[in-house]
Formats: sequence, structure tokens, C-alpha cells
Amino acid sequence: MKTAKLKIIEQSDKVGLYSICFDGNDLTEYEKFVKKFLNDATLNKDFQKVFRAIHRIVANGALERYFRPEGKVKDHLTALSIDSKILRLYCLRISDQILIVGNGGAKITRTYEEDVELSGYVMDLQKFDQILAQELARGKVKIEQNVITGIESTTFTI
Amino acid sequence: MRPKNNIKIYSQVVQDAYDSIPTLDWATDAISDGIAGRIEAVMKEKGINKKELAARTHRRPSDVTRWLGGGHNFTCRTIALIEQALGVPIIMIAK
Repeated sequence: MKTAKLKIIEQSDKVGLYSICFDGNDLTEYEKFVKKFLNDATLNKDFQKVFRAIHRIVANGALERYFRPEGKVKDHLTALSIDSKILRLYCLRISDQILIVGNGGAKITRTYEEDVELSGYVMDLQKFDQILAQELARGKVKIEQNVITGIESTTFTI
Repeated sequence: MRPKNNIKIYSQVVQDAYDSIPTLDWATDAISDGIAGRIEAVMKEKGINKKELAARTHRRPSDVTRWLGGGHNFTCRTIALIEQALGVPIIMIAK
């Protein structure tokens, strides 16, 4: 079991962009993704597409057309709909106004399930999705339009 | 150019990444996303789903998903193809 905090990354009048920060880490999962691929000579172009897609979402809303479903019908797991055939960034699209971004990487297997690293990122997000739903039901954490409140005092056990 | 919404960035790592993106790329994205938004609006108005647009353009539904994603580098030919399939203009040329 791991513990994590939810941290705000960007806030616009349309969207609150959040990421998970595991206990003992300085960076959130999304920041780790950004740092890993920003100066990657091979994947930098793909990274820029992903990064700019996140910006579109923050600027315009987490609209359905920006995503393609990745997980089960019942969960919020998505990947970004971009031209990159290789790089994946996994997210939880909670609503048009709330997006939780996780980590990602180069997808060289047919499905993410065949890749240990990518499937780990996906599983972390899927577990977090469940825990967040429990905390929302308890009322400790609340979603008010484009803001999640109560996250400073909440530690999520995944 | 980046969109004008009031965006607050809380992460220095993310801010550094923003600063590394060339201005021309932001401008290209704004045009591409505008085209994508217009296609989606016409699809909704006419009750056409992704599968239907894919069939009308003889492309795969995954291609339509990429068009709507907002970062696609459309060719004039693709825009013309979509305009024919939807029966309305997607872009207007300034005169």
C-alpha cells in the first residue's frame, strides 16, 4: 500500500488540473512525466503534443473530444487523443472541469497491459479513482465545479 | 499564441515546459483546435457520430478521434474531404 496527496498543478476558469504525489516524492506523477520527456531527444516532439494537449484542456475544458477511453466503462480512466503513436499519458477525467493527470510513457506493446511500467501507472490511477470516490462519498473531499477542496488535509491510501 | 484564459500554474516543472514550447506551435494548435471544434459542432448539429463521419470520409473512426483531439495538423485535402462529408464549410477564407 502507498500513501499519496493530491496536488493542484494548474487552475483556469474552466478546469482544475491535479496530479498525485506519492509519499516521499518531491514531484507529482505528472511532473515526473514532464521532467522525463521534456529533454528526451527521441520523444520530445511527441511530448510536446501531449503537453500542448493538456494546455488545450486547461484552457478550454476537459471536453470529451480531447480524450479516448482506456479503462473500464465504469471508471474515469482516459488517455489523450493526440497524433502520437508512441507516447501515452494516462488521466482521470472526473468531469468537464476536473482532470487528474497521472504518469505515462512510450507504449511499444500492443496494449498497456503488456507493459509493466504503463500498467503500473494505469493501476495507480484506477485505485486512486476508487479511493477518491470513497472520500467524496464521505464528504471529506468535495468537488465544487473546477476545484477539489479538502485535499490539503487528506492522505489517500492506495 | 497561448489562449487567453486566466491560467495559474503551480508547478515550476510545468512552467519550464511551457516556456520551452515555440510560439508557432501554440498558434498552430489554436487553428487546429478551432477546426476540430467546428467539426464537432457540425457533427452534433447534424446528428453525425464518429463512425458515420469515418464512413462518409472512408477513414477509420480512430482518424476522426484524432481530428477532434485538437492538435491534428490538417491538410487542405483533409479539410475539403470533411467539408464534403458534412455538406458545410469548415473554414472561411478571409478576403
